[in-house]
Amino acid sequence: MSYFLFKFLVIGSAGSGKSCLLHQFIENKFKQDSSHTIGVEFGSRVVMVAGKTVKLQIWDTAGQERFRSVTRSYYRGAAGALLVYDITSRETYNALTNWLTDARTLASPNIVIILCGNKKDLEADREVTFLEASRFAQENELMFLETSALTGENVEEAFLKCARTILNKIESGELDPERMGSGIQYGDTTVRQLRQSPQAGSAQGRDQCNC
Amino acid sequence: NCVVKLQKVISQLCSEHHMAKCVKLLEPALHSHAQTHTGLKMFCVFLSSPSYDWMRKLTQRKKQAKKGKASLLFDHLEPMELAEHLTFLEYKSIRRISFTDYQSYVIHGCLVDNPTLERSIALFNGVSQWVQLMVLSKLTPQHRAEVITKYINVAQKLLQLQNFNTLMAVVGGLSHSSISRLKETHSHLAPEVTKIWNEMTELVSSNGNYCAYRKAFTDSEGFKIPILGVHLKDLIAVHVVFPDWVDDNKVNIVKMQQLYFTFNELVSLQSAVAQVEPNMDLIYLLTLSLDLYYTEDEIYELSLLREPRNPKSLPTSPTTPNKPMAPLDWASGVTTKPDPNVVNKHIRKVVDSVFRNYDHDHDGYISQEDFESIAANFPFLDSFCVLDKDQDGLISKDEMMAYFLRANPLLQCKMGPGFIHNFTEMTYLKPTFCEHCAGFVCIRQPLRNMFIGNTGTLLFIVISENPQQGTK
Repeated sequence: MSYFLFKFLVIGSAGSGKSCLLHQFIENKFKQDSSHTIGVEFGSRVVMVAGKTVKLQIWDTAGQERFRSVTRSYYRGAAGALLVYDITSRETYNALTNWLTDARTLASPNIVIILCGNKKDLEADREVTFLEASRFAQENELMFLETSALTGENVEEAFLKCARTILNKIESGELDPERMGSGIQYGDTTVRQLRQSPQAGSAQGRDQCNC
Repeated sequence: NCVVKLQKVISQLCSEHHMAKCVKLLEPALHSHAQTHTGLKMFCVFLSSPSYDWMRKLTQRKKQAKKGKASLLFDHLEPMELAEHLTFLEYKSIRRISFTDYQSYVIHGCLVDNPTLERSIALFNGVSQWVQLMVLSKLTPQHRAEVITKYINVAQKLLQLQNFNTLMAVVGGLSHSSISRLKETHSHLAPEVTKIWNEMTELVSSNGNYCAYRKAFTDSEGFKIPILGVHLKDLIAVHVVFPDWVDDNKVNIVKMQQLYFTFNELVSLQSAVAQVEPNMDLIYLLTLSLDLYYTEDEIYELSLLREPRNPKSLPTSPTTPNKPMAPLDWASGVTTKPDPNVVNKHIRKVVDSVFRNYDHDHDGYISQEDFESIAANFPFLDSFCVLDKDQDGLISKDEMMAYFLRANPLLQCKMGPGFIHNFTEMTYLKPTFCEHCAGFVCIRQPLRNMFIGNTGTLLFIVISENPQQGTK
């Protein structure tokens, strides 16, 4: 079967519910790993996006937020990122700029980022309004959703929206999976051939860009 | 019936943080019923392990008799010596972290009232920053390449000592964008050094959920320090992914087992024995160097100064040093006038330590030669003649004291926070007074406060878990 493989990151301040979000998305796809030597690997799921099979390999940074140089090592070669804050904690919202700077400087410049205001279910404790966050998202050219890892609301959508945008960018030639560190791999060669023939023109155009 | 009750309690232990209290109450019961499940058994082993409370108490240092020639810090220390001392610091900090500290971190997903873990993370980040600053303090690409090479050698030794946590911090520092962007510097690295470097980054890379590191860690025997972040990540993952309960009110044994393995690896460090015989003076100076409070932006700015973005507009040749560092615009927040007596006291301590380590002939004066080694270890120090007020070619203790006192307000604007209150979490056992202004420290439970003084050049930390024992 031919498919794409996208590397995704889940970033944001400690306690914003990154692991829960990821777990909600992976759900039962997670295989219990009894061997403690390889640790707990629970980060991938295959989804269908716009008629294409995409395997999302998702890297969770939970637990390591404060170890600056550890967290940074994740960024290399990430195609997409979920930038998570907690709508009931202004502190996590205020830290977004830092996370965003890291993502933009450390990951590929084309990284597709979706902002997720998590814990949507805790409406009563809300500290960050939808409007404020969506303005921030707009200013920083991010997609935006409010999610709830508890009820599952918008969790699937967040990942799929991100994946769909990446696919669109590949199709429009804006993103080149051939480039090192794009965070995108082919499951096998058929996708590559399919993509290469009609897109040859735009690929040439991109070669002139030195970025 | 008993077993069901027991299961409930254990699951409570996992989800609440009244751990210590519950453990005491339950230990006998747990032991009598533990035979049924291996998971429970393991948990019991865990609960019954000694608390190692004594390790978390502040230790008072004995003054060590000076042995032979003073060792200097970075420039004159052999990589192995440096690695050993870093390992000592790491071990000392990491073994203070108790099971309850780890547990609280996992449950909250962040640091809440967790000063020991916080301090350990600060040390980790301190090492990363120190590595970057030491590299960036050199003016020419060759010199910077030499420093990088030295750190790569240190990393090798850290691996040899099986101190994976500091290894990660050093590799993390060297692969930080402020260093990795220095193309010219990297062109001066010898191919064999680059090869070792690649091996090191492979080893601690997050690929395959850190599979290279996990393999190396499992394979190593004896004293070893794990990469804290990786294992904390595992704990959080297990905690989130597995339910506490499985069908019909049964404790999830698989979860208990997973938690046990990881916790055990972390907590077993408390009973490990460090093989290092440290030189406490060195440890003290190393601690000074590691307590850097720079922001990443400031470090990156320094990196841009060393090798500007567009080399065409600002040509740099390998033989011409880049322009010396211009004062950066360090936005250092609010400044407060500190109590001169307190400032004096702390500057005296730092100056004493400097003289102990750098005044080679013990004549109470720093010669020009001695000074160069100080300057190499503590970037941003003014030139010799600035410190040598009476121009006699020697710096006396008083001159150095005077310099720091004078430099303090001046340096404050360019060297980051000076003697301003710089609050970081700290736990005190008793109500206490601010070290800088002698004001009473406002307290909420638990008592906390920490003051970081900064001369701008020699950074020192004034902390004390027990104010009665004075500062360290």
